[in-house]
Amino acid sequence: MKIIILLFSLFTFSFSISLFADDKFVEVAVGVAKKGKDKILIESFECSGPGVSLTQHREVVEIVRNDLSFYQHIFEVFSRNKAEKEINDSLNWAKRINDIIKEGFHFVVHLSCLPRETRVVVFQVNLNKTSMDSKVYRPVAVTRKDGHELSDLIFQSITKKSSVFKSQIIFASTKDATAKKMIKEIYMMDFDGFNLKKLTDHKGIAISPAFSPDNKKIIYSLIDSKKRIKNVALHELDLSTMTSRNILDNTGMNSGAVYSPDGKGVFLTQSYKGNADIFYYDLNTKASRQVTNNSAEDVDPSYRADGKVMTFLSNRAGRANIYTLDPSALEQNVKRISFVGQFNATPRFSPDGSEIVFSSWVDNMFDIYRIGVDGNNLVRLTKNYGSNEDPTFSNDGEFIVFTSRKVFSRSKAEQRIYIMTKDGEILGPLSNTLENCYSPRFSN
Amino acid sequence: MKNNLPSIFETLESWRVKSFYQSFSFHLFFLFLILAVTYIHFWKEEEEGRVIVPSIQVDVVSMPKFTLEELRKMDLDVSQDVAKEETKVDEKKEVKDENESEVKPTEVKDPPPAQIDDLLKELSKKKVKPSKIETKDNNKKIELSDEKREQLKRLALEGNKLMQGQAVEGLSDQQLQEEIEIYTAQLSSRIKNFWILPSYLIDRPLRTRIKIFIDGTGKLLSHEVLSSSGEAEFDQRAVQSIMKAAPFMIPHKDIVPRLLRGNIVIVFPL
Repeated sequence: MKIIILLFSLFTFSFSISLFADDKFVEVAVGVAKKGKDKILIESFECSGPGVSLTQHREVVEIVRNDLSFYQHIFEVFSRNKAEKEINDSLNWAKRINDIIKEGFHFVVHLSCLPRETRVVVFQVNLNKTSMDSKVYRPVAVTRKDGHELSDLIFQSITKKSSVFKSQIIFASTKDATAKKMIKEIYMMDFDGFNLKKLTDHKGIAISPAFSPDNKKIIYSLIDSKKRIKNVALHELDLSTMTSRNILDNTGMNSGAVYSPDGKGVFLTQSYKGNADIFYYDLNTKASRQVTNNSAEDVDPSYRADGKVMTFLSNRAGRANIYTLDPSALEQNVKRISFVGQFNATPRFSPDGSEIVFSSWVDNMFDIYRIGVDGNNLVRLTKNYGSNEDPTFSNDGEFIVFTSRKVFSRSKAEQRIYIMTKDGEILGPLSNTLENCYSPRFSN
Repeated sequence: MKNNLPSIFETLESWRVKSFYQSFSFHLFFLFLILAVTYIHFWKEEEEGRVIVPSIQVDVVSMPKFTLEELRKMDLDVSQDVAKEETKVDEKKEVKDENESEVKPTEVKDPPPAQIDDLLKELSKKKVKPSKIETKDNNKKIELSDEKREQLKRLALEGNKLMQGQAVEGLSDQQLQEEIEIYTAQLSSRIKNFWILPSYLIDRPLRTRIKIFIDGTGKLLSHEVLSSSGEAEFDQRAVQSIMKAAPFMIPHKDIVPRLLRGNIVIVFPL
């Protein structure tokens, strides 16, 4: 009994000592990791034989290399040309795995040419398995589109997401303008600036183009020089037939139109009631529904992918600032997002709806900024790079295209389309052959 | 009767002893119960952990001056500059065997006085040259101009009395806790710069907790993986980010014993 009590006392004593020892630990969270760049090795095997075109194979490989390198903030791309006889050994991953790990590669892309086909194998190092082993048809006359489709397949195999490689960009340009007459037409090019095409030929002023959700049509506004009374009318272009029609011609402004998510209508700015407000126009019923109703000017609608939130520009608080609302009813859930900046313009949602990119007038020029939809996390993306406007996200949310105006002299200034990563790393110009470009928009 | 007396005394005596032991056990049991309840309460708090998630409140009063890229570059430069400067500090004795779960506090010399430079460097890219700290000699007479003397006389006459002040050295418990929380928040910002994952790990719901032991010079002595994510590469990268971020800032002398005991646990990512 005494022993039990003695042991019990000792236990209680030591317990109380530990209790009163000041030894609470503190846990600290580091937060979400930064994504490191994946190192990709592209191995090209130049085969020979009947039906095999080395030139075409090299073209395809070059397009794949350039396309993957576009994502330089995500990938580090290395390439090697290898001899045909090394093909079998190169596909023996069990034998090569240690060497690949030593070199630090995360993915190996194998491209070899077969008659009328390109064999594509993607090996994922950390899983020690191939994530793709396909033969992709290679036409007689290889186009850049074929290369981009192959790049997209490889990209999806690596990241499990779609890329921008199959996207187009539409914009307005004054290429046909003369000293006496201002002309703006709508153009289209691939995401990398290639394949430039002129879409309209009104010889008027065509502005603010936007793709339909299925990318088969384009909506834009036109000031028709042939008309006696000039207003800003809404036009729609069918890309399959290349025919354009006037769909809305109310008095005053009918501009800045974007399709609704279901493609059945458009949100646009109209001023036929005497003030610039945002309306929804049903393309089938031709009925109009007012979305904003304020004595101030409300312009530049852009909606989130689910269509439940719209962002727009308004000077209802005095200066041009960014707002959001629920577009399903009039002036519903209007919320101010930006509170600083002398003049904010062209707000555009990111594809995931979490951020808005816009331009703002600072230090006598425009620069691009990005802000969360709750008004937090305002960051500046451009600086000391000319006057930068009209930003818009790519369909995968990784890039932003915008126009940048650089003044060279009193009589010479150029406004080209540039592309940068979503964090502001400028990759370069896209519209090299056109001097004055406006309102770029990515396809969906 | 005589023969019974000793037995009565013996009975009484044994009864008293027995009662004593019973009473003592009873009281001890209640004491244990109270301590157990209190301990469980504190233990739960420890288990849930006081988690510090670094955050900054920024009141935006104008458009940002620096771009995102410039800010990131500044952040990395500051971390690297601070790391370089702190490697110049003299190394203390090597302390421990990494397998030991408890690190007994070693004799730690007082670290150099905390400098406001450490804080300013977080905010500014410019390197601030350390200024000479002038120590006051209490016996030395302060030489004042005539004007100052008159001013002081007037103040004394008006009722303002100059008295030798007193300051309490050392931190209170609350201050200690605040100090350690500030230090851990700074640690987190530092480690975050090196916390990088490849694409195949970044979207996975993995979590690891690593206990770290730091000495009075900010040197990382050892680490211990408290709970693994189950993915060896994830844990390895977490450890690497801690090791790359070391050495850390020089801590306040009063929190050094706790850092040596491994009171800081780094959670990836939370």
